Amino acid sequence: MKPKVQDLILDAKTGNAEAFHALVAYHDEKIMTLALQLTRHRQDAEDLYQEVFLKAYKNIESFRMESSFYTWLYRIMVNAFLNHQRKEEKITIQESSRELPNPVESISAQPQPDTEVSERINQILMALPKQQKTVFILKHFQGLKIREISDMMNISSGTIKKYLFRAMEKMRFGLKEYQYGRNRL
Amino acid sequence: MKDLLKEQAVLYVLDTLDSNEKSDFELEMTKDKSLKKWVSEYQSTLKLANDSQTQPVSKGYLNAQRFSLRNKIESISSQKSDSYHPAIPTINKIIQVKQPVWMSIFAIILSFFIGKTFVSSAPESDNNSLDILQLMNDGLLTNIDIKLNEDENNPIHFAVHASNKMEYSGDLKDDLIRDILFYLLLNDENLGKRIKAVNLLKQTRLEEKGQMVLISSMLSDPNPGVRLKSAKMLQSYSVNALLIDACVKTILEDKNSAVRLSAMDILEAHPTAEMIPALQVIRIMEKNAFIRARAESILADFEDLNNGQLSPEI
Repeated sequence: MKPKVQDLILDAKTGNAEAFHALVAYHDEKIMTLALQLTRHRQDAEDLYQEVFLKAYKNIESFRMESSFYTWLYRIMVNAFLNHQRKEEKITIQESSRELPNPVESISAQPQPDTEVSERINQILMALPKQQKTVFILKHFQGLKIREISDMMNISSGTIKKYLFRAMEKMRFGLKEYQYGRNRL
Repeated sequence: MKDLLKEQAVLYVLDTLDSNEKSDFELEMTKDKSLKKWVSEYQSTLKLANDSQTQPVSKGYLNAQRFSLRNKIESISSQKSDSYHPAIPTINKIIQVKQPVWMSIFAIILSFFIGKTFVSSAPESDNNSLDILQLMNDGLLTNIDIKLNEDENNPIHFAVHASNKMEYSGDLKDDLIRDILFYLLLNDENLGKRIKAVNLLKQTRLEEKGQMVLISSMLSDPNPGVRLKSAKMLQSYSVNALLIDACVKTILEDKNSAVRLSAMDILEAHPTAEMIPALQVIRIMEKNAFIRARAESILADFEDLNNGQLSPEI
C-alpha cells in the first residue's frame, strides 16, 4: 500500500471527510469501470458507485488495513451488486408471467458489425447467473487472481474455476455464429 | 472431450494455471489436436468479449459522480449534527436508564458546564477560539479534525469545518484545547475521534470538571473501549460520592466485563458502606466469576470489620 494512501486512510478513519474524498478520487476510476462492467447499465452503475463509497465512508473505521483499499472497495461492490441481483431475482420470480428473452435464439447467421457483437456480448453477460458473471468480469476484465476473487466472494477456488468454465462455455456457445463468421473454427 | 480438459483449456486461456499445470497442459495439446482447437475457440471468444469492454470513463463524468457523492456525505454529516446539541445526547443517555437523584443533578451540572463553562475560558484575544466557543455554545460545532503538530509548544491542532474553516493549536495546558477534547469525547459520533480525545486527555492530570466528563463517558459512551479508558483514568482521581455512585452504576449495569472490573477496582480501593447492597447483588447475579469473587472479597472485608456481621444500615 502506498504511504500516501495509507495516510489518507488513517485520516479518514478519524472522521476526516476531505481525506475520504481524496481516497475516492484515487480509487474511483476503477470502481466506476467495474460498476459499468457488472451492471452494463449507466444509471445502475452510478447508483452502485454511490452505494459503494457511501458504505465505505460509513464503515471506514472497520477497515483493518489487512488488504488493499481496492480489495476492500471491490468486496463492498461485489456484495452490493450480488444483493441487488438477489432482490431483482425475487421481483422477477414474483412477476414470472414475463418471460426473459433468450439471447441465444436471436442471433443472426449473417456477419454483424462490431456494435452488434458488443450488444450480443452484453446480452450473454446479462443472461449469465450472477455469480458466474461476477467471477468472469473480475477475472477477465479486472485481471484479479483466483485467490483474490475467492477471498472477495467467500467461495472456494475450485468453485471459482467451475464458474469461469461455465461462463466461458456460455460465451463460446452464444458467440459461435460470430466466430464462424470470422474464423471458421 | 471431457469437461475436465475443457475446463483446463479455459483456465489456460485465462492464464490461471500454475507453471507445472501449464506445461502439462501444453504437452497434452501436442498430443490432442482437438484440445488445441478448443483453446483456439476459447481465445477467439475472449477476443470477442474484449470488444464489449466499456469505454474508459472520462474525468468530467467522474467529477460529476464525486460531486454527487460529496453532497450525499455532507448531507449525512449535517443530519448527524442536527441532532447534536452538546449536552442533550449525554443527558438523554443518562435519562434513558433508571437513575438516582444525583444523576439528574449531574446532568444539569453537565449541561451548565458544557454550555457556559467553556465560554468563560475564552482567551479573548483570539478570534478563532471565540468562534469555536460560540459554535460549541450554540451546539453547532461539528466536523472537527484533530492533528498532532510537530510544534512542541502547540502539539495539538484542531481544524473546525464550519461555514469558515477555523483552526486552533495548543497543548494540554490550554483550557480551550482541553474543553474541545472534552466536547469531542462526550459528543462526537466518530469513535476514532473519541478514542483520540480520551488518549490525549490521558496525558494530563485533569481537574474536577475533567472527572465529570470522564464519569459521563464511562456511563454513557456506546463503545466499551472508550468506557474502559475513561474508567481506568478515573482510578487516579480522589474518590468522592459522585464517583462511587457512578462506579456502582457501572458494575451493576455495564454490559462489558472489563469496564465493570475497572469500576470494581475503584470501589475496592475505597470501600464504603453505601456500596454494600450493590456488591451483594453482584455476588449473586454477576456472570463473570472473577468479578463475583472480587465482590465477595470486598464484602468479606466488611464482615471482618463488623465481627462477621455486615453493617446494620444495609
